[in-house]
Amino acid sequence: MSKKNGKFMGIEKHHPNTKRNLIIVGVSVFVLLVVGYFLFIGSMV
Amino acid sequence: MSRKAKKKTGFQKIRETIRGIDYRHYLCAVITIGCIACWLLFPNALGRVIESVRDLCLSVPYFICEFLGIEHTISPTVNALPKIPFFDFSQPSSGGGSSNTSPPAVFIPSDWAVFKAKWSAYWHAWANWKNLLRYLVYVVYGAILAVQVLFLLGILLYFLRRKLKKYLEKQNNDYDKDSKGVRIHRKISFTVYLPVKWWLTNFIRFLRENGFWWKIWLCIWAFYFNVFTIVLELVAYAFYLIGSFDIGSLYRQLYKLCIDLHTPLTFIPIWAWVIVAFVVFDKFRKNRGYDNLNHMERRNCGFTNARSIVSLLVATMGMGKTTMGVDQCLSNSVEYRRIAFEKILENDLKFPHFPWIRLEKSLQRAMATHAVYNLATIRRFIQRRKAYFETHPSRRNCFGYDYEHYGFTYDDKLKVVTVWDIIETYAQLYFIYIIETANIANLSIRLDDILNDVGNFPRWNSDFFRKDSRLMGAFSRHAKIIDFNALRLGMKLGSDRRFADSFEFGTVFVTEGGKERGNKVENAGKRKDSATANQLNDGFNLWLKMIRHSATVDGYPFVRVIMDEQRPESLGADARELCEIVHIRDKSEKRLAMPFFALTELLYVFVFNKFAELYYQYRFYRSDNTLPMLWLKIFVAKIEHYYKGIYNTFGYHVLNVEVERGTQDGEMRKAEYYIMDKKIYSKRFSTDCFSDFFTVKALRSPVGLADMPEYETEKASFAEMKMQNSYFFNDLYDGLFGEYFET
Repeated sequence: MSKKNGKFMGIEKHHPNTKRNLIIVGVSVFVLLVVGYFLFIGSMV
Repeated sequence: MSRKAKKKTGFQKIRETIRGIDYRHYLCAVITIGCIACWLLFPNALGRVIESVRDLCLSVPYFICEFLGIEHTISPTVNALPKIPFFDFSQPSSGGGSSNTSPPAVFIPSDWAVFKAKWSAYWHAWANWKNLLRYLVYVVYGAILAVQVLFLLGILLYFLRRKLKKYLEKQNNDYDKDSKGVRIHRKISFTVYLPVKWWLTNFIRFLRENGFWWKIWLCIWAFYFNVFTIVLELVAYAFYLIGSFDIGSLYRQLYKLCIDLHTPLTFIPIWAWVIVAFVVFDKFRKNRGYDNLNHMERRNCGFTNARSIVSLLVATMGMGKTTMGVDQCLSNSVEYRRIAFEKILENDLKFPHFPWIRLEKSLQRAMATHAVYNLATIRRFIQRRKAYFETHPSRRNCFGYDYEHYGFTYDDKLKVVTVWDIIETYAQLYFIYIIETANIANLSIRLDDILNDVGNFPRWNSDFFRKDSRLMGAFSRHAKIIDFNALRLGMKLGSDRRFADSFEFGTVFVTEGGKERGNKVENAGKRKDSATANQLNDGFNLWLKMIRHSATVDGYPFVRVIMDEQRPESLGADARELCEIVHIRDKSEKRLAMPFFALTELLYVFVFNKFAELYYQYRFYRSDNTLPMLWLKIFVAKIEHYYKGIYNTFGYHVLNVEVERGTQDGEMRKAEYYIMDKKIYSKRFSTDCFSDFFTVKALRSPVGLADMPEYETEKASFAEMKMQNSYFFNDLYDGLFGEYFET
């Protein structure tokens, strides 16, 4: 809640593994960048 | 006059028929005409189809001639470049061939030699640091652009948040009062959005019911996008390649394929490709998710098959022992049918000329008249048919089997069996296969296997994961109510003994089995020679020991008894030592069988947490309905429904279990058991299966929790302790005053 009413405790229905998800997203972005490099070179030749 | 009237009647009939046609057919016809009119955008499509038919018509005779060694002068055209435009009316034709072709520029060169040169140049360029740096510069530009977009989005969200926070500054108690914006929103929604949505939903349903319309559209667009051409060219080239072994022409085919794909690649806009890519990606990851769930289900079946006839699931409260027991019941049903089906096939092949369908139909008729209702009656039914055949031997009396030509016996190299032995086995297996419910339990379990039968051999759909929950009511059944008398070989309870001898095969699940049977301590005082049934004289343990005798068909026992309890010792030693004890040691966090959901989950967590915090502040201060909060709530609800739907379909837990012998003197074997949400939480059972007992008990009470007295201070007073009806305090009280406290 607001400061005068105390902090809202939040709801946790699921317990997603945020760290793991961030790593997966990071690896996916890296793979996309590598694929993008191949396409970039292809567009140049 | 009469002719006029007749004419009018005929005209009226036509008019009525036209009026009777659903107006959406006219709409579909207009869409079809529109699709056909789009031909103008694809002038080369017809030419390519004509060319591909020509290629096929030349390749097939070419292959036949080459294959049969016939001399010929056929010159296949499958390697010729497409003539584009095919219908060129501005110039006189030069007689076909590829001399005047002008195919569109595609991303690979037309010639193999040029391709090889470019391939080499590609890898040189790939390994060039300058190119890499140039690419990284583009990546940095892209990143800067993304940061700018995110920054603008952040500013937008900040102002939206501020705007919403302003709402929080005004407190009110205007219960469910709509603001002006909400009223306008609802009006637009009711008059525009919802009617359009309902119309579109009905139109999609209409298209599904009248599939020819969308199939026509699909064919038209497949024609425009050269799909027919590609398929025909592929077949033509296959014939040519097998006939000529001209491997060097493969590149030409690749080039031609690129030319044909050029049309859809350039015509469909990028945003549409993005949508198509997402739909394909979503389909792919969901299929992977279903594959993972099926794999886990097969592992569960392997675990269940490896268990003994009787097993006891043991865990503390809330660990999921009842859930696991129910899950095993469901898997057992599927396994029995699978094994019965395998054995049916084995027995079928022992007498391949036997008309098994006649036996099956005969059994179905006997089941319909209740002449056959369990394995024993089936055996009796077959024995009677056999006895009649022996006195009146004929094909008709042997289910139409031509025994005179195909013989009566089969030697499996272990023993010689007659056709009547196999008929008896087959009939019992068929009965086990087609019976709808073989689960008996002391709690209700929903079953949803679907029997597909078109009058021949029926097939079961036992897929737990792809069933539509909206259609649950149409195909659900429930486990049979257990009558414990059917599990007793000794004394029985009650006067209604109709079901006392009914159990032969199936899966029996007894939740809280220890409480039902008790152990030595709990049964102390009960006597074996009692006039009424109790745990000592009802012969339940004897039944457990002998149960496989009634359920074994073709060497396989179609029976399992599963019990659950919090402690193994709660079940008496005689029964417990027959069991395999499965200890549930640990239950994992919920996991997802569907891959590539990480980004969506990150977004969901971010959005949901922000919303939840804001929403409950709003609920604390205000009770009216405002437009920003309504829109935010609709948006978050959509995300929440999607997220929940994915987790409810593909979510699962892993139970880490340890298995030991019932004698509890062997080693523990570790294993994993998978609890999958879609299978087990889809209204399968009620975890509070005995709650109705407590409902009746609570209804008897004149007071509730709110009426119970509270402690006056942080320390209980003497009088308050006396109110507890505690054995411990009563002992202390007795010691203090020399008498027991009594209410």
